[in-house]
Amino acid sequence: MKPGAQSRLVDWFHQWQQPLRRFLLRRGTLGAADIDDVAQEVFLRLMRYESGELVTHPQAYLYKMASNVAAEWSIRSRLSKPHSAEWLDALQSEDDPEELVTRRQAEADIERALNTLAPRQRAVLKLQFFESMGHEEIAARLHITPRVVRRITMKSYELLRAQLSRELMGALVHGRE
Amino acid sequence: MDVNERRRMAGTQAVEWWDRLHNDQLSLATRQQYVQWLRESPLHVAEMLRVEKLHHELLHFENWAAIPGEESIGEESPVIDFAERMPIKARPTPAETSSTRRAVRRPWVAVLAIAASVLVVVVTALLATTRDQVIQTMQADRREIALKDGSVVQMDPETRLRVRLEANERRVHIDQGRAVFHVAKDSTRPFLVDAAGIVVRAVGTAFGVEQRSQVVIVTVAEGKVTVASESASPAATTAPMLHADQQMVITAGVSGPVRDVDSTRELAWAKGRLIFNNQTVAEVVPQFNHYNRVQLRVQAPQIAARRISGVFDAADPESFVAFLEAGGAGHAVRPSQQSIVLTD
Repeated sequence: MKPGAQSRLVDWFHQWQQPLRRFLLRRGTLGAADIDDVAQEVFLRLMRYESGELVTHPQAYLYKMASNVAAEWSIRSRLSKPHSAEWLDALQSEDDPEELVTRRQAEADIERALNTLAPRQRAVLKLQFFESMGHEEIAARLHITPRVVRRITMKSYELLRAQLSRELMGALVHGRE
Repeated sequence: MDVNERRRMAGTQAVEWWDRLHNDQLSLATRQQYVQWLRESPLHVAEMLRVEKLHHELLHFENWAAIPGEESIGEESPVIDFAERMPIKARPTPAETSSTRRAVRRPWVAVLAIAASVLVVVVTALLATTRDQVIQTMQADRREIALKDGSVVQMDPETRLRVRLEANERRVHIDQGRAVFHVAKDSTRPFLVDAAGIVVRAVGTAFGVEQRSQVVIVTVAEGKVTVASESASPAATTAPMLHADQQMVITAGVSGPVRDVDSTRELAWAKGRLIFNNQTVAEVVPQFNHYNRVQLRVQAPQIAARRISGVFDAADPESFVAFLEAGGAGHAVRPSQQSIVLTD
C-alpha cells in the first residue's frame, strides 16, 4: 500500500475509533449485553461486503460498522431525528451524568479485576499502560523474552475478560446467546 | 460444547487475533483468514468488540498507581482458590438448599483460579515491598476464598482485604466491608484480623469481623478470639476474649461490652441470608441492594414504614417483593431490567 494511502486509512480508522470508543465505554443506556446485539447486526453487514474491501484494513471496517450500528441505535433510543451532524453530537456528549457514574463503576471493576491477576501479569500490564513501555523494554526489565511478554499480555486479557463478563453471564443465564 | 465454552473459546481466539492485528504486519492471506473468522459467527464479532472494549478500559484506567507492579513479583500468593458466588435468578427456596444450589460452578472459574495462583519466580533487585495480596469484591459480589493454610474466608460484597501469610503469623487486614473467617488450626502461627486499629486474634475458630469506617464488630461463631487495640503493647493486660455466640462492638477504638448473641443470625449474611426481626422496609431494602445488581426502590412512605420479619435469600429480591405484594403492601413496577420500584 502506498504511504499516502496508508496514512489516510489510519486517519479514517482513528476517526471511526472515537464514536466506537464512546459506545464501548458507555454502560448506561446500552448495557454490556448490547455488545451481542451490535455484534449480530455487524455480522450481518459483514456478509454484504466484498471480501476484497474488508481485507485491506479489517479492524477499521469492523469499527466503522460497529460504530454505525451504535450510532443508529443510540439515535433510536434517544428518539431524535437522524441528522448527519446531530447524531455525531449525540454520540459526543460527554455530559451525561449517568455515564459518569458508570465510568466510575467501570474503573472500580477494572481495579478489582486487575487485582485478581498474578503479580507478573499485573506488572506487565502496568508497565505497558502506566509507563508506556513496549514489549522489548518490558522484556528487558523483567528478564523475559518479548514473546513471553506478548503471551502474558494475551493471557491477562483473557482472564480480565472472564472477570468482567459478569453482566454477560447474567444475560446468558436468561437465555441470550 | 455448551454456550459458555463456545464463548470462552471465541474469547481466546479473539485475543489471539487482536494481538496479531496490533503487533504484526499481516499478510493478505492472514487478513483474509481473519475476515473469514469474523464471518463464522456473531460470537466472534462480539468477542472481538469485547477485547477492544477491554483494551480501551485499560487505556483509560486512572488508578494504575494503586495496582501492585513488578515489586510484587516473587511473592507467593497466599490465596489458592477464588470460588465465586453470583446472584442466581429468583426462585423460592427452602433455606437449607441454598448453599448446595450455589455449589454449581462454571468451568472457567476453576481455570481462572489455577491461573491466578502464582508460580514462584526468583527475580533479583526488587524494590520494596507490597507483600499483601489484595482481594476486593464489588457490589452484589460475594466470594469465598481458600487460603494456603486451609482457612476459608467468606467475603461480603464491597469488601476489600489484604492477606499476608508468613512463617510466624497469618494476617488479614480489612480496608472496608466484612467477612467471616473459618480459621484452620495452626498453633505455630496465630491468625490475626485487623481493622480500624483493632486486632482480632484467633487460633482455630470461626468468627466474623465487620468494619464500617470507625466501627468494628466482632462476632464469634466457634472457638474463641481476643480483641485488642493495635497500639497496645504485647505485655499489656490481657485483652478481652470472646467465646462462641459473643459479640463486641468497638467504636473509634473504644470497646463496648461483650454481648451474648445468636451468631448464626448475626453472621447469616456470610451465607447469603438476610434475617430481619421487626425491621422497616426502609431498613431492609438497602441490604438487598448491597447483594444484587437488581436494585429495589420504595416510592410510597407507608410501604417504607411497614415492619417485617423473616429469613430471606439475599440474592433473591424477587421473592422479597412477592412477599410484600402478597401481604398487600403495594405492588412492584419494573422500569428496567436492573430496577424494581415498590409503589402503592
